[in-house]
Formats: sequence, structure tokens, C-alpha cells
Amino acid sequence: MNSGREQILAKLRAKRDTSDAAEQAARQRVAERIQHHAPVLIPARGLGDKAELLARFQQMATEAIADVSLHETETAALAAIADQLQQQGITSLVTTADAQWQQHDWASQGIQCQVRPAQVGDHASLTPCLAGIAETGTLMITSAPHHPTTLHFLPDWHLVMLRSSQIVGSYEDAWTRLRQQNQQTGGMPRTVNMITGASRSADIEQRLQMGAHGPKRLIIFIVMEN
Amino acid sequence: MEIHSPEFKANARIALHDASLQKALGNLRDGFPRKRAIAVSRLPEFEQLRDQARDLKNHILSHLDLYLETFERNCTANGGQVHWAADAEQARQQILDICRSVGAKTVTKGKSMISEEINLNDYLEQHGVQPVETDLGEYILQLRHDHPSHIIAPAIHLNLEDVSDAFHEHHPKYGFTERTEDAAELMAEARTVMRKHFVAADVGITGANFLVAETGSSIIVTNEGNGDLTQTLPKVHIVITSIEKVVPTLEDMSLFLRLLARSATGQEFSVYNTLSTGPRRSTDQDGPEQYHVILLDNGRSDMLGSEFQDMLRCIRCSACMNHCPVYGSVGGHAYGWVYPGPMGSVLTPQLIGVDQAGHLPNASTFCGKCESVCPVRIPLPKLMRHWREREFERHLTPSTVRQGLWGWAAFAKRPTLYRWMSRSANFLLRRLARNGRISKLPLATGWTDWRDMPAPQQGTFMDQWKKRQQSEQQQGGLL
Repeated sequence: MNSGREQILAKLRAKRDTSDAAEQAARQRVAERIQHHAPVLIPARGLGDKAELLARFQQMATEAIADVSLHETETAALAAIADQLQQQGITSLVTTADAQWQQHDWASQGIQCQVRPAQVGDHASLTPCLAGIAETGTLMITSAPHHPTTLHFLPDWHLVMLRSSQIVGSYEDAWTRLRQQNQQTGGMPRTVNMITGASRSADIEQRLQMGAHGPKRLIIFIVMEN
Repeated sequence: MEIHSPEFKANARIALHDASLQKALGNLRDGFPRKRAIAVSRLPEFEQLRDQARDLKNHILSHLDLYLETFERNCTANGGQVHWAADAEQARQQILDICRSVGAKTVTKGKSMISEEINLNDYLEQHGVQPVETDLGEYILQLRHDHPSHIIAPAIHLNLEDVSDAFHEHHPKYGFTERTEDAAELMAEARTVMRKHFVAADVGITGANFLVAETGSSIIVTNEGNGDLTQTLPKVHIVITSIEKVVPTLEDMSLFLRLLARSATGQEFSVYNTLSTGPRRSTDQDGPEQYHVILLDNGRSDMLGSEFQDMLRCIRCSACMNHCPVYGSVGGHAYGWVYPGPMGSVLTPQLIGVDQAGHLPNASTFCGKCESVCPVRIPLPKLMRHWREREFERHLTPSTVRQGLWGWAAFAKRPTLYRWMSRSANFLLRRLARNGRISKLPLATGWTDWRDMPAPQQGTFMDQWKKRQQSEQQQGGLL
């Protein structure tokens, strides 16, 4: 089945020194690079203390056309979410199982909250995330048995709960968090989403339009922790 | 895609007189270069990142087989299936076999230039599988039976009216009977129509911007989210990509991601950067049941170790064509195949033959702008010059060019004659000038019809040099 494999690899090998010593050195260089996975160069804007990174995350995410707000507690954030949905006349919300957000009193504001993967026609989803990356205002969100990926793409609005302790400076810091999570779960998740702002396209005359195929709005609720 | 590169000159002439195309190209010239400049100015480390990206790509290329094997091992360990395709035919066959194994009727597609390179859509259609392009630009093109003219802004050659016409012709069956010229409404139409396709598709095909050897993952970079729905909703996800896309680690990928969006659209980061690793886990509630990666060679291994190896560093950002005065004047279709602009002028002769694409490396003013913005510092003008040399060696250049070069060489190799001729020309040009400018010049009307030729201000270079050296000697050799 894979005759192409040997053909391609043989051609690639023919282009480098494969004498015993050179081959051993090359394999060692590759193994070490992968094992150490050292950062190459982290720009200064990916560094800073907690307050700086929080401010930078807010600034960059807002610039990328996400709505960002700060809340003292998760309960306060959930209340703000319910208010916002109610104001816009949105009566249904889909969410993940892990955070127990379906326990919140949504019904009193006329909102039905369901735990399931998203479907075509869903108006809003609410998900947790793994990290918020300050350098570009990017969210990192991973798939899991209790966290379907469709929640990030099918609904018109994607609401994300971000704890201030999850804010990191750079992509490299986020990979470190991902590796820690992988150790607990046993490996890479099927999907790692890095999301920066809401869906958009400029394919018609290079003019930016929001809400192409993914969510028309990305709304981030930051819960402050000490 | 059919090859029209041999007709570059005729294509370019038509493009220059196409008012609608020229209007559309104006959007490019005013947009991407300005946005890139702003993004670059906001990241002080940008030039350093470019150096490191060049060096890292060179390291990868000198260990390419080892990184690909590592990728394969880790992808397989996570439940993925890796297929190696030496050429386009093998890749098409592998994709069709996978589609048939699940009885696929329709296939959604994220944007992929490799799928254009292997002419995948026509092949699938001929074999009873209907591909649906999901990127807005690509979807518009598919409705019009058109092809991308730019590697990241595929419909850049079209204007709003063209999109309105295409949707008005094809969308009434979905209930959109009114013609609209509102870009937001057009996009909303596409969104509604595409949702049906996303859900109905049996297989989703995407490209990959990078492959990560460490984790066996592929990554796509998009703004619309279409690629994510393409790879999440169907039962099967096929990644069609090429062998030079592999990077060692997630950290190494970050280096390229910092350069990619800024060089391409001038964004700080694209909206969706999504890593896929294997199929859905047994307890996942969504995601594909199968994950296949097709690794295409198609002539790339021949470039390794050759004078064109540097081209394998390309990360397909499009900065070179966004800044190219030739691309900006004639657009992408004039180049006659999949890859336009400076990167296409280097890559196309390799992939379809210099006998077919010889015009492309000649379609350059060698202004050097492409190299100056390339995030991985590919010396594009130098590589185009190598193709010109090859073309000349193989006697593919037109006889007028060969005779011209021969005539030039006849002078250039005879210093006395050359100096006498250049002194005479210098004298004559100064006599023809009015107020230091020449408004009409025999044999050079291609220039003087459009602008004045500046007259030489002084004697020839050699005369000036001699004079300067004499005066230096008089001043004791110090200046």
C-alpha cells in the first residue's frame, strides 16, 4: 500500500550524509529537539507580571473583535451571561458537562440550558477554556469527552469563561499548560482550538465582514481570582 | 487545473486591459502591504524571528526524512493513518479510495492549494463524489467554475457584482430569490447554504499549514471557521498536505505562526489556529471517526539539495505576491497555473517544467521587494535567475532574446569597443535631451510613450572614474 513511502524516504535520505557517524548524529539532533521542545524566541509582549498580562489579554482580545468583561466571581459572571442573553432575546444555551453551569438558575430568566454537542440553529454556547494567551488575546480550548468541539463553531454566539489564573503570556506558556493537562488525561486531545476573536471573512472585495461560518460574536467573561 | 503558463504574455496583456480586474486588484495593493507594515512595526522582534525561521527551516530540511518518520510514528500512535504519495496521481487515488470506503457522496473541503495542485475536485467529480468548497472565496469560485488567483485570498480578482451574480444564479433553490449587492447579506446567504453541506458531508478534506512531528498533529489556520466545521462534522477527516510542512515541536510551530498571519493579512493572529491529532477519542461526543494524512511529494524531494532548495522553506503566506508590482498589475490568473506571484515563478517551473513555465521567472523586474518581505528569507530573485539560466542552457529562450544577449556579450567582452560605444551613446543622448529629459527615443518608445527618459548628466562611468582617480592622486590619495 505504501510504495510511495519507501520511494519518498529513499529520495530524501539520498540527499544527506547517511554514513554511520553522521546518521547517528542526525538522529540524536532530531530526538533532542523533540524531547526538549525548547522555545525559540518569545517576544517581549509575551512576558510580564499578572496584572500586565491581564491588561494585555484584554487589549489584544478586544482588538481582535471579542467582547471582554471582568467579574468578581463565577456566580456574578453567570448572572451577567443570563442578563445578556435575556436582553438579546436568546432563550437557549448549550454548555459542557464539566463546569456544572447547568445548575445555575437559568429558568428564572426564561433560558433553557442544555448539556450536549452543538447543532445547526443553536444560538449560544458557553464553554470553559484551558488558557488565555496575552500576546494576541487568544483562547486555547481543548476537546474532551465532556467538551465537544462543535460548541466553538456552530452557535451564533460563543461565550467563554476564563479564570484570571488561566491567563498566560505566550503560546509557549500555553503549550506548557497543555502538556500538564495531557499528563493527567493520558495524551493529546483530538482538537486544540486557538481562537482569537469572532469568525470573519474579507473574501468579498477585501472588506471585513463578521460572522462567516463560525460564531458571529465571541464573548469572554474573565473571573478574577487571587 | 489546466496549465496556461505558456500563454503568460497574452494573459498579461488581456489582464492589463481588463477594467474589472484592475479595479479588484486595487483592493489588494491598498490592503495587505499596509496592514503587514503595521503588524511588523508592532513586533520589535520580527526581523529576528525571520532569521530564526529561516534557520529552523534549513535544519528541518536537512533532517526531513527523520522528522517525517517521527510525525508518522506519533500520528499513528494517536490513531491517525498516514499515506505517502509520490505524485499527484497517487494522492488522488488514495483520497478517492478513502471516500469510497465509506460510500461518500459529498465531501466538504477547507481551503487547500495542494488540492488545486493535484486537481482534486475534477477527479472526485469524475468519479462520482461531489466536492463542496466551504471557504467563502473558494465557494464563490466553485459556483463560477473559476480558479483561485491568489493563495490566501482566492477570489481577489472578483468584484462585489460578480459575487452577486453568482449567488443570484445558484441560490434561488435555497430560497434566496432576491439579488443583493450587500456584502454582509451575501455572506449570510453563504453561511446558511453551507450549514446544510457541512452536516450532510460524509468526508471533510482540509490542508495543513504545518505538521507537528512531536505530537503527530496537523494544524489549519483560518479566519472563517469553515475548516473547523469541515474537519469536525463528517465521519472522516482527510488532511492533504506536502512533505515540507513538518516542524519538530509545538514551540517550533509557534515561531512560524507568529510570522504567518502578520506576513499574510497583517493580522496579529488568525482567528482559528486548530490542531487536530488523530480521530475522536472513544468517549468524545463529536469529531471524525477516521483521521487520514496524505503526505505529498510531487517533485519536492527533487528540490532538496538542488539550487532551488530554499524554496522549500515557503510557508505560503502570500507576502511576496502582495508586494509584487507584476502580480499587482496582472493578477494571479495570468501566471496560468496554481501558484502565482514570485513564489509561483520559482515553484511552477519545478512542478510543471521550465519548458511550460519559462515565462514566469522572466516576469519579474527583480526589484527585490518579494525577498525583502519573505518571512523565511527565500532569495526569490536569485532563484528566478537560476530558472532563467536553465532556460537559456536548454535553448528554450526565444531567438530575439538569445540574439540580444549575444549582441550585448559581443560588446561587453570587448572593453575598448564597449567604452567607445557607450561614450558615443552618452554624447548622442545628451544632444537629444531638452532640459535634461528625452521625451522621444527611437527603438525605446515602449518607455518614452509613457514617461521621459532622463538624459545622462555627465560623461560615462569610466570617464568619471578616471577623472576621480586623477583628482585623488593629485590630492595625495586622500579624499
